[in-house]
Amino acid sequence: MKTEQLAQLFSQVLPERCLVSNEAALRTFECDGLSAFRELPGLVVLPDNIEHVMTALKVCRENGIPVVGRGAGTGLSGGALPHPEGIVLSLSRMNRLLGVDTENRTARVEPGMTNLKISKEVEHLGLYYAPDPSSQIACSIGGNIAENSGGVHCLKYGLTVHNVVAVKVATIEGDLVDLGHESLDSPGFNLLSLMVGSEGMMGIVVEATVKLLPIPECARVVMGIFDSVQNAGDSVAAVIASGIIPAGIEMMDNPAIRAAEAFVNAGYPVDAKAILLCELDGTEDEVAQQIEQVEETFRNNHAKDIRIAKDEHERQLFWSGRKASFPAVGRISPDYYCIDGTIPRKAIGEVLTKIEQLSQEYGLRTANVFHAGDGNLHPLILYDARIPGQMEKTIELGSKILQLCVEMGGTITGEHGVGIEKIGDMCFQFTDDEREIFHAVRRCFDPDSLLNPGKAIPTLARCAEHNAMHVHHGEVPFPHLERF
Amino acid sequence: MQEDDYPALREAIDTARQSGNPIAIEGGGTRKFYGREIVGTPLSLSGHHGIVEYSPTELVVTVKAGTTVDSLSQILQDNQQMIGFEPPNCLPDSTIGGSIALGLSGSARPYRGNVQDSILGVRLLTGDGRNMRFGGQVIKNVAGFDISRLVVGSLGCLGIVLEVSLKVIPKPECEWTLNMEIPDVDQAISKFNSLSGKPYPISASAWCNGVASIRLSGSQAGVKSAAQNIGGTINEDDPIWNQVNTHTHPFFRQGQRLLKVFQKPSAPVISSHKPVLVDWGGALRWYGEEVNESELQQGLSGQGGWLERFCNADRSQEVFQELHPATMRIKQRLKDVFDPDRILNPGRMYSGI
Repeated sequence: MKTEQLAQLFSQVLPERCLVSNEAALRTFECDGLSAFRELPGLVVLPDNIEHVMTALKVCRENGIPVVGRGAGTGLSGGALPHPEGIVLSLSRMNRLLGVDTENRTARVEPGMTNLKISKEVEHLGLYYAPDPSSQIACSIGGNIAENSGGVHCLKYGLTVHNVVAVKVATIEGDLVDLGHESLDSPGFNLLSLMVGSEGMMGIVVEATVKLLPIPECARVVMGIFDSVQNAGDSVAAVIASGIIPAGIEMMDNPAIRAAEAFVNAGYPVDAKAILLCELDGTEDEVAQQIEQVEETFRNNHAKDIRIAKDEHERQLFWSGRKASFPAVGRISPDYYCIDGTIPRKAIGEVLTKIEQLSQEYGLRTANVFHAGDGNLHPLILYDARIPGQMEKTIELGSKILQLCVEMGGTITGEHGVGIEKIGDMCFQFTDDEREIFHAVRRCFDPDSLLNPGKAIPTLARCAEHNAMHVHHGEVPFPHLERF
Repeated sequence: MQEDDYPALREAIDTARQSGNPIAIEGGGTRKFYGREIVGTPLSLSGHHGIVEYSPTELVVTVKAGTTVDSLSQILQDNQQMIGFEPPNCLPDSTIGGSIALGLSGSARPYRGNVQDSILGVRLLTGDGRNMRFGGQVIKNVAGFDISRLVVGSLGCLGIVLEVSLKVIPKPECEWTLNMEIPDVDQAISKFNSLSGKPYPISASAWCNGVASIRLSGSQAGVKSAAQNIGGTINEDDPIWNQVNTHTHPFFRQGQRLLKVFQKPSAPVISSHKPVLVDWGGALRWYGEEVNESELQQGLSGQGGWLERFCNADRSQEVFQELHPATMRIKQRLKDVFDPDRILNPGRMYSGI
């Protein structure tokens, strides 16, 4: 349906302030954080409340109009890329805190509330919301649920799926259902876990109850400085093996260290091949004990130097470089492309070496900044979109890196989601049967496939086409591999 | 692992589909009392056991479904690791596959998460004979829908779990239980909740017979300082947790009808009959057969929460509550996707599923 028709249809049931139909304003919604993919939506609907959401979904159901849910639009996989003949349902106006239950340590929020705002709102109670994607200042909890977002502290505190207690969902069939319960476990099939990370394809979350945790008494950070990425990678595995679960353990390679240091002067050693930032939290005594253990482990794995942040100011300084590393890379290259594969921790050294080889093969620089504790890599490919063909080469290199992740027993996406970006890469992680089940499961919630159509799960035809590009002598990629 | 590893299971599925005679999936056969009536020909998974892959530094273990909880715990223990959700272990034959199918978590549930929080991947044989893998062996993975977590607690109604990958956690260096006499159950629950809001390394809290027990797990230093702050009598190896976990606590005496009531942790107790055992920091309340069920139901409809007829109930009736017709409809459709001929544990969870 065209914008004019859509606007006419929706203006009969929703107030004008909830509708965006002029082209200039629609441009704001043409992409999310993955700006390489753009599409002008037919219409944008900005509901004020649950009733508006239900009304919009009803119109879409009755007229077969595709619906793309959108939070803050910070997603990195094009999950909120609009449908040209459909609506974008932007939940950004529904951003209130509905209640805090101090005794049960939960907060009830609307989907448009930003991730960081939740923690700010409950800070005075000594509580916080643990998942902390790097975009937490802007990203919304509804978007976090759609993507099952992670962050720096996932290793110890889990992903979004571990921290959402219940959601209220508006279905395309016109129901308002509660999934999950504050009583911790719910009867029957576990639909809440299925909804988290479903990329807006099973329903629209209109309210969420999230878990709050007590703010740890103390948090300290240790920086390990290494002459080789292999030693740094081995140190990560060794820390875990020693029985410590750090609050976060992050790794940066030399290009990332240099870029960050030039940008924020965090005191990083620019000649190091890799650094690890290991944060420990808990009670004062516990943290003191663990700092010693981590120091020893780093030393045993040939750390060139070890620095322990002496106070909160220095802790923030150590982190400042890591937190600014993406924009820092943005300063040294006209464009960069962020990859999001996960691998077993023990393969970190090997995979980084192979990425380096691929990077030389393609003549494109890479910088690696990532969540080493859970093996979640974020190689940044540096390129210049103005040079013809470089964008395509970059995407091809990205796909090669993801194939490498799958080959090592990992996955094509750890926390950014599949969206439109990695839809082709899904073909080499899952079999036809598995992808068919995904489609069928989605139809249990959305029989006409109106919610975010064309995202996350490729059709069989698309995979046949995609694999045709990768098939060598009639073999599917990695025929020996378990797709587990 | 090739698909042919399970020829007998595939054959059983083919036979069931042709004959229309359903399959009753069995792990160690230790929890046949759970859920609704069992119908169909028993199909045991206990022969399919063993570790498929385990690297302690990855904090991940992949096992065949018939592996017993005991044997897996021993292997993990040898590496100073454990399963976070503490699978209840009724008898030595209880299997991991059974634990996943039942989705039951032990006393650590509010603090270390439930079965879903530990699962990373499954290999599943569906009712139409498709052998598929979902999830994976890495902690962060958002590719594809989360079928592994959907399978947890589905009582075998969506497929036969063949293999499972679980996140494991380091065994705490030190574990103490603090016991304090608190005769009033509501007071104990409120104590649990106020402590849970503080940054103490609590890993379980339960109340029974006027005694509140709080388990601390972590580094020696962390546990000691928390114990000092909380108070109570220190017991370095309190049997209560094992008794609750293995259902050998006197409360689980044979033949009694037991009810589980799930409420938000801080909710005051409903019935004029007090729960006999409170676990999960207040979120799980166990009642014996002396309780008036309709009174409980009434209270729950006002306060929120739900009830499960855990054992020795009339199994021809529903034993799990369903809260909304729309979600029930979705669950029916899921059954159609995974088991279109309804040959896998039909009716074990809900009639018609």
